[in-house]
Amino acid sequence: MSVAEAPGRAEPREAAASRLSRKIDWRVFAFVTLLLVLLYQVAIPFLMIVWTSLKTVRPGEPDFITLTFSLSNYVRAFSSSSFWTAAWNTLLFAGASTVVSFVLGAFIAWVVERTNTPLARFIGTMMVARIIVPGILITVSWILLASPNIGILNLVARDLFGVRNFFNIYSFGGMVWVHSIEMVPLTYLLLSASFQSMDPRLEEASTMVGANNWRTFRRIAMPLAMPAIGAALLLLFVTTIETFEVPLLMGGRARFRVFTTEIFQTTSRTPVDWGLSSTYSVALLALSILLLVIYFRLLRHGESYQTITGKDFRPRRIDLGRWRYFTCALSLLLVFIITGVPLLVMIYASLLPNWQAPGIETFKSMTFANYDSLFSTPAVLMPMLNSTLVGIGTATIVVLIVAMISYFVHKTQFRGRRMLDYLAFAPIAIPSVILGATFLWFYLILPVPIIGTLTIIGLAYLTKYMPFALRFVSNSMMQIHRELDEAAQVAGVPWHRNFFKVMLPLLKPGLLAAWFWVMVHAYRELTVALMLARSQNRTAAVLILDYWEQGSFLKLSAFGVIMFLALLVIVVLSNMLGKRYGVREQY
Amino acid sequence: MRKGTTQRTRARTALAALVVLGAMLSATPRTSAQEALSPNETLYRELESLSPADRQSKIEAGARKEGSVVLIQTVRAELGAGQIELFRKRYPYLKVEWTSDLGSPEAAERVYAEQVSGRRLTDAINVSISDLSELLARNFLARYATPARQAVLPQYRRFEDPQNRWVLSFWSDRGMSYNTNLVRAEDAPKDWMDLCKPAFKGNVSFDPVQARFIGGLYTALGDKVFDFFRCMGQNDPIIQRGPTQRVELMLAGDHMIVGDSYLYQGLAIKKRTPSAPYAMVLSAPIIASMGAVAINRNAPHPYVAALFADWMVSDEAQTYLADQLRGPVTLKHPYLPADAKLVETPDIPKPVMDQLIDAWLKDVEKKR
Amino acid sequence: MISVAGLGKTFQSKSETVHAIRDVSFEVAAGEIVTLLGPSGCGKTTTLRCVAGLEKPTAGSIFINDRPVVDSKHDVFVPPHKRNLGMVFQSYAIWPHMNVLENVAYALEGRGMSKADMRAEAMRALDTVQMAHLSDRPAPRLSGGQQQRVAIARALVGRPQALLFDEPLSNLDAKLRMEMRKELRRLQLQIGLTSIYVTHDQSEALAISDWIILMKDGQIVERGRPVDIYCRPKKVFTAQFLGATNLFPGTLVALDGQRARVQGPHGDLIGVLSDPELRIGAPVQVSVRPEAIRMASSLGGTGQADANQIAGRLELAVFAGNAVEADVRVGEAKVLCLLDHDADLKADRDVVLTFAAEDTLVLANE
Repeated sequence: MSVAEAPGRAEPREAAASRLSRKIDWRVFAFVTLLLVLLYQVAIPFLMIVWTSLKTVRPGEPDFITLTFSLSNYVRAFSSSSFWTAAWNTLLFAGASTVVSFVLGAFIAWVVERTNTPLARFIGTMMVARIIVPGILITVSWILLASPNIGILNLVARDLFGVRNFFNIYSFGGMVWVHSIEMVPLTYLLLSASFQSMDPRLEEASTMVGANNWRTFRRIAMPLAMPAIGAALLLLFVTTIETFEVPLLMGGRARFRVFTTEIFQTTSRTPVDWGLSSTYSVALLALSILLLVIYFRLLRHGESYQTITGKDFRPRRIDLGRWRYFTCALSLLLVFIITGVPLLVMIYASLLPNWQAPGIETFKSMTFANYDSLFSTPAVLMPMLNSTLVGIGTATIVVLIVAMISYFVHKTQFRGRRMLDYLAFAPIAIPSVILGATFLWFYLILPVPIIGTLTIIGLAYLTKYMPFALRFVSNSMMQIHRELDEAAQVAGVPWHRNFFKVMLPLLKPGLLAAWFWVMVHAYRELTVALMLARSQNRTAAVLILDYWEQGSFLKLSAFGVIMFLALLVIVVLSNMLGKRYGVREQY
Repeated sequence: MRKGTTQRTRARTALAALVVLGAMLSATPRTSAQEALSPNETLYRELESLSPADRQSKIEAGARKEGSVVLIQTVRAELGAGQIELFRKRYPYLKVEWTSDLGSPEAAERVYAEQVSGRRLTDAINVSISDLSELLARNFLARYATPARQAVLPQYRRFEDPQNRWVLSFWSDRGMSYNTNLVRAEDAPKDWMDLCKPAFKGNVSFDPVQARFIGGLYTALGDKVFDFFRCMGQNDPIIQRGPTQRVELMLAGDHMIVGDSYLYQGLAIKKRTPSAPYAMVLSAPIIASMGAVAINRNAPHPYVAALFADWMVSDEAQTYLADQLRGPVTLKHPYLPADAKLVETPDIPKPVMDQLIDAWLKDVEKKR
Repeated sequence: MISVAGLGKTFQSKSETVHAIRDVSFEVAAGEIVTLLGPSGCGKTTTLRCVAGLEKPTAGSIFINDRPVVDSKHDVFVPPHKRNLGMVFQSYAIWPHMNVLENVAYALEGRGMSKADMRAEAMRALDTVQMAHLSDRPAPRLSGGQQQRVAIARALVGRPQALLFDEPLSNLDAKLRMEMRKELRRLQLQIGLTSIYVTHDQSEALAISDWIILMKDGQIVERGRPVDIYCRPKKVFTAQFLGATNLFPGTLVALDGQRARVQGPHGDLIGVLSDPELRIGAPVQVSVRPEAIRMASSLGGTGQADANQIAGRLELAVFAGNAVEADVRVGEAKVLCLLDHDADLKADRDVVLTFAAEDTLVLANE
């Protein structure tokens, strides 16, 4: 009765292998190179962290490379109450942020993908557009909005209702709010993808046997979405655990310390207590890895759900009736808060001669002086250029590497190909603070003169962004039939030619998505860039932090607006290029 | 021992990467025996015997040959950049690479890290001398005796190093400043203990733990400092990174008093925007810390480093400092009155310092 | 009984209005199975989904056992979960997070039945499709055919007023499809449920239906009993869609009751008139099924009074198991013939094709 797997699937490949052994060598060569690159980029940082945590001397000291280990760092860490406070706070912060961003992101994803709410496409686009607003600007803009005494909202509340300091952004709630807002687009992306891939027939089948919308949702849609939801929650949690910007800018004043700020603190004292900071890092790594193992299991579970569904369909949209105007209004409000508010605050602040609440006087006094002073400082141009170079460069290389990885993982039978997958995904567990510090240390020890250049930042980004790019590209790769590759092999097309001429064009949608994601994030990244910054390789985000610490909020805002516009130009231009020189996206 | 290493790693292929790493590590140059003079120091020793004119021309000739230099300037903002710019103009044939993103402790740490791992990148740093202790302990700084330091005013002479491992270049002051819109002059704090007044609850800001500042408080207050920490902590201080930022915030009305402000910052803002509601508290002891240029013992460009150290005490550099409201070491202070009570951060014994830091973290930051 | 009248469904795209179906009317008598047949995009699935309630038609009405479920004039629309219909989907839509029994028992939820009763009913339904022995197997571990059976059991278990099949066999391989086709027919005869069946496979439609409704471009082309519609199609499209056919163009020149004479480039042909409306002088198409054609090496000697004969040249003959397929060139046209096993396979020779007048249909030119 069962449909047998088509026998001899591997045959054409083997035939090709024997006939075209010279071409296969190319593949082996590429595979081995890739494995070595990954070991270098991923395994060494991991090793460095664990190794350092077991050492009582700093990296570089003669005793550092001996095989004598000590657990004294662990004893020190575990016996200090600040370790446990940081641990508890990290979990609390991550838990709360995950919940808030999930609720908001899931609501919008549901509205956009599964209901007949008007303007759904616009709402979805605006959600994704938020990704190009740098995270540090979002944090800064919310501080400007809801800081006690000087925040716009507080000033307005004072003027209108006579309430003093209604909001205090420097609080646990404030931190959770800002970080959640920052993560909502990611939540949205993760969930809308899985909402789209749900077979509507499964829900229609439920309707046909007499179940109403609510039971269909509760018994069919929800359980089916559970693996994807669980995976999204875990990814959000892991992302929060390693986040740095919000705890750095707000955590100090909120008296709320998490692991990443503790690590940063131990790395900014003289002499740096590398042993202790590595131990904190190992604790963080262990937690992240545990969560990621669960994440992978959930993902596999979810895939088993998808094996028997049909191929092409549009997701079922629920007719909300008159409620759809309500969902539309609510989503627009959220989009406004998430995407619009930070931008508006930035633009507002960038036009002020000095900080003040909005009012008629304020608008009269607006000026372009901040922009003028920016453009008259030569130091502004270089970070912008650096960010552009590092963004585009990293994205291009990451996407190429990731395409190869997912090719080997999904389209070949090489032994050890799973290893590529795990190696490329593992860095998601490394917090940026640690990643930056590790790369700095590694290249201090290694006599390769790249410290202070964009190369070292690019190398660190390569490790940092592979996991995200891999998710985008793997999904596209799985949808390409193996036969396409096999056909090229049988036809005697050399492997590398086939890879560039057949695979890459077929992967275009996934590659583009990955490229944009990495480019935008590398462009705006702060933490790693901060750890690796020297005079010549400062990036735009580092300059923003610099302005922040100097208290030049208005100049910062002007710079933020320019940075946003520059990024927008890059995105639009590359999108046009992609459309023009790419192949058709439908196959 | 290396043989043992190889054997063990051979047994476990998982550690193969380590061998590679280990080999690379052992191949890197390492600092020589602690007490011997480094080539740079020998060179500087030779300079001592020359006449001032010969000395200067030899240094400049050497600098020309080296052609470039890597500096870390921890004096923040425009001042740091301006000073470097002047240096560049003075010696246009030099390629000056420099960073000012780092705080003084981070700059010291960077040199420390480079030395430990055998890299030679940074030539000289301009930092607070209290951050040099680790570098001194490991003998990472070059001994450089220079006639230029004769210009240093007598009252600062006691901060010089008998072994010439730094050249005094500036000093900075930290004290209380407040927003005159929020605090009337008659209500303003007169002394440190006044910060504990209920009127200032939740309205006084500090940086997270900073040994230099805390040590200064200890010198000013003695054992009473522990009482101060306790009552300050009960008054809900704002702990936020970035002294410049906090002065801006304070002036914008975010809070009333910056407890550890670099006093010049508010004055600089006032110069730009005369209406800024800024006032300093000069009646309480002001915590001063000395800054100096220290040269990397293994600086790749010893001549330019020497040139830079000398230039930093020149009239040109010092006048610029004073113009920028920072404390010069060869000239009169630009704004502090002669009778201001200054306390310096002396060498506080480590156990006491640890105790102070613990108390600060526990009582003020409420961290432990 | 299901009665559909004047059903229409339009989709609004950016620039134009697309009519997915237009003025579709038909009836399904109680206990009968009616097949909606047609090429993809003909509107058959849309029609079925309108009956199911998964699509809201823009015009027309649907009555199920005399109860209006859709009446666009009176703004009546009964949501699908209140129509009490059973549906089998093309992709089966087996819920992957449940096992076989749960999949079927779920259909009984919300009817105030006890757990035990639900279980028993579900097992009975599974028994009908011979899946009772796999009741606790998780859904993702079922083969295509097994999923198919579970889907049917699930559709049956709630004792629906009618069953709807949306291309239920198209995802199975050829052999299994043949088996399931018979089994479905047997099951339908056994339980006697009113059914609508959608497919694009003509042989499936012929095998399974009481009535076939042929659709094209959102409209009904022709309807009839399987035998009639296959043997006596009234439209060229029907003749072409239901099995292979050979067409010869011509003009109607003479009529003798049912017999018609057609003059064309292939000479005079005699056939049965399919459409009584046709008048002399009308342009027509003459349709002959490949299996109705005999092949001889020379003219004459057919032994039949009104047999048609056409001379041609055998270009290629291939052995196809149960028959020999031959391509014969006749003038510009190529004629397909299905011949006996013992036919001479030698190509490139002149032959004469013979077919009886009663096997020849004269259809209106479209």
